[in-house]
Amino acid sequence: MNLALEWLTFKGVILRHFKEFVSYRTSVFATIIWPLPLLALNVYQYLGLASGQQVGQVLNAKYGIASFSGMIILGTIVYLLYNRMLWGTGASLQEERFNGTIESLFLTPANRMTVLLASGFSSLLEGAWWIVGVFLLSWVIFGVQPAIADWGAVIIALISTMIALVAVGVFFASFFVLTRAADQLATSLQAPIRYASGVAFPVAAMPAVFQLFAYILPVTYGINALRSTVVQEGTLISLVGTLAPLYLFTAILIIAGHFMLKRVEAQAKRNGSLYKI
Amino acid sequence: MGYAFDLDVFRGSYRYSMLQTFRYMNAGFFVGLQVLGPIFFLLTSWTILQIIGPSALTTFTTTSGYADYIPFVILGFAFQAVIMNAVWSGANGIRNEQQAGTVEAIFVTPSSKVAWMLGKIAGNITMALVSTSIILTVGTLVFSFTLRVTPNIPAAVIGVLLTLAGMTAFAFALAGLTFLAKRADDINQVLWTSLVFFTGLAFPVEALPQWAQAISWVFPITHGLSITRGAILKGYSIFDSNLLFPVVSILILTLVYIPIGYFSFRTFFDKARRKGALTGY
Amino acid sequence: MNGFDVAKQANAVRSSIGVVTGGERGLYWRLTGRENLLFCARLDGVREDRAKPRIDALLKLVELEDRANDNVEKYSRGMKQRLHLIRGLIHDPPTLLLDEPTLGLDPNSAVVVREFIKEKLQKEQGKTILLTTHYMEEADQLCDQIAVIDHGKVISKGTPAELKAGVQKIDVLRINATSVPESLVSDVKLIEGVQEVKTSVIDPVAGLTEILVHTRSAEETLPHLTETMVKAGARVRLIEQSKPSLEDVFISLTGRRLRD
Repeated sequence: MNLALEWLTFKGVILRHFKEFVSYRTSVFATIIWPLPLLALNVYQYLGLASGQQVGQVLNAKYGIASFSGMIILGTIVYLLYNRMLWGTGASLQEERFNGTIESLFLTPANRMTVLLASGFSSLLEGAWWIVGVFLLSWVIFGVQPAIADWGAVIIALISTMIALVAVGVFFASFFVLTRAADQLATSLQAPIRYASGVAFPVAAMPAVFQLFAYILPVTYGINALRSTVVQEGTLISLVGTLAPLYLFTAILIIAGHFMLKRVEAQAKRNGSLYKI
Repeated sequence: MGYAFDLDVFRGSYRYSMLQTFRYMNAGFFVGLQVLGPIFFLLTSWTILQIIGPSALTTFTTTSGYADYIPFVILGFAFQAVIMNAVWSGANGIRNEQQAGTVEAIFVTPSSKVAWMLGKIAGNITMALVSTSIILTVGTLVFSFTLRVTPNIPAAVIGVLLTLAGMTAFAFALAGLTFLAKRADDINQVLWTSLVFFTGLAFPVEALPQWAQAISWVFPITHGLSITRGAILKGYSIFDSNLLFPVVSILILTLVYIPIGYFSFRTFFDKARRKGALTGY
Repeated sequence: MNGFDVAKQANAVRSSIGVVTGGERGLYWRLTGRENLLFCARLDGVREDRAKPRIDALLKLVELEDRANDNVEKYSRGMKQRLHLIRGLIHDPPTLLLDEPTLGLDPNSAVVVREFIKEKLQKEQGKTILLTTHYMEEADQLCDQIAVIDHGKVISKGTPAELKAGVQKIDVLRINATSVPESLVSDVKLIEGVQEVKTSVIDPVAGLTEILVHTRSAEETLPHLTETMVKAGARVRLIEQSKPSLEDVFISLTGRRLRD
């Protein structure tokens, strides 16, 4: 592997991705605005049924969650990033198909996995404002005070979650190309994952069958890791049980994505379906 | 060219919209999942109810005036499946045509673009009705959706139709915007989330702060949902005094929005034509 | 391909070829021409210090340097095609694959592109070019070797001269006539020695039709042909015998039906 070439590819994809992103003004607008109604919705699904104080008391008593708004905010941030991965990276190859550029892309010597990984990181950068902005907003609007005992743990949790989300995007990129229905798939997966990964409530609150499903989603571990370190004074030691499966899933998704991409390419060449929309 | 021609265009566009959906059924499993998507939102509401416990129902009843939370939410999400599909079918349809390179071929014909758009919207509504049926079925079987009174179905249907009429105007405006903005998905995300928040789909509008309740008035969905819930959960007829406010509100909004939607569509469309941006994506 | 095994050394092959797909799509419309090329350079492994001057030179070569910083969505069809062409050249591959490079271009643009391929790429740079085209005159003008493909199979190959010589044993008669009835084609085909008959309307207002007849012997066929045409009521304006072109080669090899 020639790292200099991989870096060229990586950089090229990120720059291209970013240029395209900012050229769609509505995308930029939506990226800035969307967290607000989503956060409000997640909060008011509780406040429609009880006061904030009551909700906080129940969550603390039943699940040991000290900060209701902190729980919602961190779940929302991870969900937003996951969504960005799904539509950014997951649909990236499908977008290349629509652009008519997929053939050219596959005919270059550029490593496809590098292209997808770069697409993933680019999507993360586009959503980066959420991490900072939503936290600032929540501090101002909801008065959320983080409860951080170990900043190192926070950073590790955040980076690990972001890498896991990139892996999710890479995996789905191949999957979407195989099925040629990226938008339907991406839309289909939003609601189930939003529910099962515990965006709006702890996993322990779900029916048992969904809890099983929750624990095979990397998003779940990402949310748990961030909640633990940002609002529950979690340390690196306490994170081990959450990070280990997160890393495992990341590895599985990257490897599966790599092999699926190879299979997609081989199948597409045989069937002539690489460029067909 | 006459109404017969417009009807033909509508039927053709409707058929094409359905064919487009079904020809991607090699992801059929996932199409099914998409249709089931609102079920998971319903599950979220149910789970939150379980978390808070019995006091939630008391708060809910006091705030909304409805006795049961789950039927309230089931109707909300059944309703939203139809309405949301109507709202963004136009924008998504135009984006798909742009990517497929077929916009020019469509817009160079003498067909009525309104009839063409309505056909697309109708196709998406048909698919959404499947979703609605599934939500209501799951609600009945899994969440024991039972009714305390005899529902007034005609009033409920009128509520849905009035909402569709009002929100179709949004669909036209969004579709027109797509000619220029090109990407519809991002706007759809923001719109959907905002509509769920402001219009009482998942929780009573009365639970919102005053300023948010004022905003919720401008959406036909808010009133349509009030009519439909009143008709189904309380058995109100369309002429019942309890439904007077939402009925009058939705009529006013529909009369205002339809021309706005139409002229927005035409304005954006003409601007895109002048810029030569009709086909780009 | 260029000494590399296509199956086992795919990436080496990709590094040694430039592919020009052409068309309205296949470019990133939201990027400028220069940005498109820079992106492709990176994917082809060309470092920026080499890529930038090379891109400048290529843009100048196809006369796109003034529009290089405009978004591709504002380019004309011909401009997009030129951009496609130089995109395949960024990493200076020894072999080029050109897929219908002049398809859909106006005659002037098509001439410019063909001249570029012939003079710059072939003669000056000595590149090996695999070109696909449906324009027989383009193949005739540009190609040293031609393979005729029909239904996915190579049915004939050789130099243009060899291919034409292969149908020298066929005489080609071109007749311009008016009042040509539909039944004339089948009547002419019944004449002994006639192998192919093709008609095309060249002036709908005047009702002038060109009839192309491939026959073993023009000398033997001509009297019967004129008799048949007169009997059918056609009014002959012009008759000439011509040398077979590549189009005639194609027709004689593949038959009368319009092929994809």
